[in-house]
Amino acid sequence: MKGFNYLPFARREVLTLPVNQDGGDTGAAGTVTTKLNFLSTGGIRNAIIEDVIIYEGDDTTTSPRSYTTFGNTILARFGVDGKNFLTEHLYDYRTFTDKHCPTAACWDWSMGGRYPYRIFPGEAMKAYLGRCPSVKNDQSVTSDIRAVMFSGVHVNNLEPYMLYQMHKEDEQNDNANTEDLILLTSRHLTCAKDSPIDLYSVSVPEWYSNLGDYSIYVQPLDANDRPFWPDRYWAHILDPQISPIGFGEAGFKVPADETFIVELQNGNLALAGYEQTITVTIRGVIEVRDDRVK
Amino acid sequence: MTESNRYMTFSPGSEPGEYASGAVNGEDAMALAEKHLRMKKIPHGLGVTNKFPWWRSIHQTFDPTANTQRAFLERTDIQNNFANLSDKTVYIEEVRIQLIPPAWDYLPHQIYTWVRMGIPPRRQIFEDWVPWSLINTESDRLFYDTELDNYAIKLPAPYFLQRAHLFRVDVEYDSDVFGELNYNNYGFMLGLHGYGQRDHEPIDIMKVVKGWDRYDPQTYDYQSIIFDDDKDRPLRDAWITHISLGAINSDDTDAALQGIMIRPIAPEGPLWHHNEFFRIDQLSEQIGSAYDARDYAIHRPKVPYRLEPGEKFQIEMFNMAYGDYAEYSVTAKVTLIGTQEV
Repeated sequence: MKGFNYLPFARREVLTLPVNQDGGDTGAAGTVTTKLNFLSTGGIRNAIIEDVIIYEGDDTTTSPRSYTTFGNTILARFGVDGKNFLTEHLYDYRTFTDKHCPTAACWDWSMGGRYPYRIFPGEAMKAYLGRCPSVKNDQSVTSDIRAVMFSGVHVNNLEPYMLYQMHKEDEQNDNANTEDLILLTSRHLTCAKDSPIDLYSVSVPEWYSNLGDYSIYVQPLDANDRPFWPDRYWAHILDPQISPIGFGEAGFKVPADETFIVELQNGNLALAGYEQTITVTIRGVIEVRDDRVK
Repeated sequence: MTESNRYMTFSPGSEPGEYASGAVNGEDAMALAEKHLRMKKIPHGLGVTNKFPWWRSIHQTFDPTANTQRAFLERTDIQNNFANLSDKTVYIEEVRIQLIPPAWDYLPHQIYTWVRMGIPPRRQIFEDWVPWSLINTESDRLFYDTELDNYAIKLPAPYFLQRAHLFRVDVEYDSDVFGELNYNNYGFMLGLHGYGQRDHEPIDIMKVVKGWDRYDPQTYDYQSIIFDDDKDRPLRDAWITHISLGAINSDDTDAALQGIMIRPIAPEGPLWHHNEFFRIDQLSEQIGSAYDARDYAIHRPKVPYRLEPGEKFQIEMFNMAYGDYAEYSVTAKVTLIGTQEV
């Protein structure tokens, strides 16, 4: 939209749902918010939330599937703090799902191209890339290739345009429990000289794309060195191991001074007698003023 | 009328308002019956759309022990498969790469096969080699279901099929996977799906395809499935949006229908396939399992690549032959999916 730019973001909270003592529907509920105050560098108008990913486990887990353990016992509802929820009651979170489970490590944040992130000549993207230390020890991989690609559109001639960079490691690194982090910068991550570029997705190569037993982490940085998400160890931002809960082609628009809420509740089935650790991730874009977008 | 001689083959000498008579194979019973149904003016097939489906595919096997260098993905017998030899612009909406490993549980090719591509000399999309799976632009393009036995291909542009015109689909088995499967006693259902030009009501035309015998595979033979009899030729002018393949009489969820290859022959408009067979899953958005998903990279940019007349989409790949994996070869299949101006 003219006068606005859209910065991709993801936020995540790990919470523990307490035991539902009486087995009824009155169990204590945990909530998670988007914490938009973290993003308040000025000029924000809205957060537009593309999807919510509810994962049963903590955020370092690499198990291949979610909802294998607590399925049908986690209830959820979504809304804006102080306003209505989308549904009055809480339902099994899976009933909200309307997206396919990803099959590749790639996140298209633009909601069909509606909200691209535009960079301008002279600007460049960057990315931290590494492997989650918790995963790394389990691997017998002797070497790996890390790369990142931002897919976009050349605004002036309306052709596809890719920003990319790759890095190959030669040394053995199969047992080092170090951070093993690299920062990718190069001319190939730089905007075209003759036109702004509308970026809409980011991808990384994966060893196993869908089974989650190998997890490259990536932390893209935009043209102002702002990370897309705050914690570089977050796994599975690009390749959730479960179908995300989407909010349609337009996304869920939350004004900057309001707070998006995901409310979770330990359900009333047999497993309600157990504490449950849940990771909630939201992904979307932040709408900011940018007069360069004509 | 355009340069398409295919159109002339299937609809000889039609005059305005007189299209149905002799529309197919001269004095055709179906065409005669059509006379009772036809409306005063039938839209001309080539006049109702300016966009036709366009597919191209090539495949090549990389043997890293023999060739660790890059290989241009061009088949020697179809040198111009990715070239636009028409006088109209082609829009490539999707580049799909499928890597078939030497064994189903063997997957290092996912990283160790590299790619670069472009439309020389106008522009190189990636100047450098990148790992093949990096070209993904969206992660949920393919979906899978463990119970899935059917595939549906969405045409990149709806195809206008005039009523009483026939439509042909050639079917062949991919020898890469045939040996593992038993198609004996199995049949397949091939379908055209769309909606009526005037009433917008659904149209589903189905045809049974007899299965091959595992022990007599006739691997390189193909069957032509012609939608041409009274039951399966559309009585209405139709927009065909999907082609489907479904299993019959199969309770085997591992029946790998993706090993079946098809080649549609449309009666009108430009050819959209350049005589090439496509594995059905190369075009479908469904895959058999989560494991299969790892064999694909889907590059679908928000705006299509423009392939002007005379230009050629060039893609190069090579197998890094890294370490322990050096002895394995990998088959790559690259499919371009797009539309063609008419």
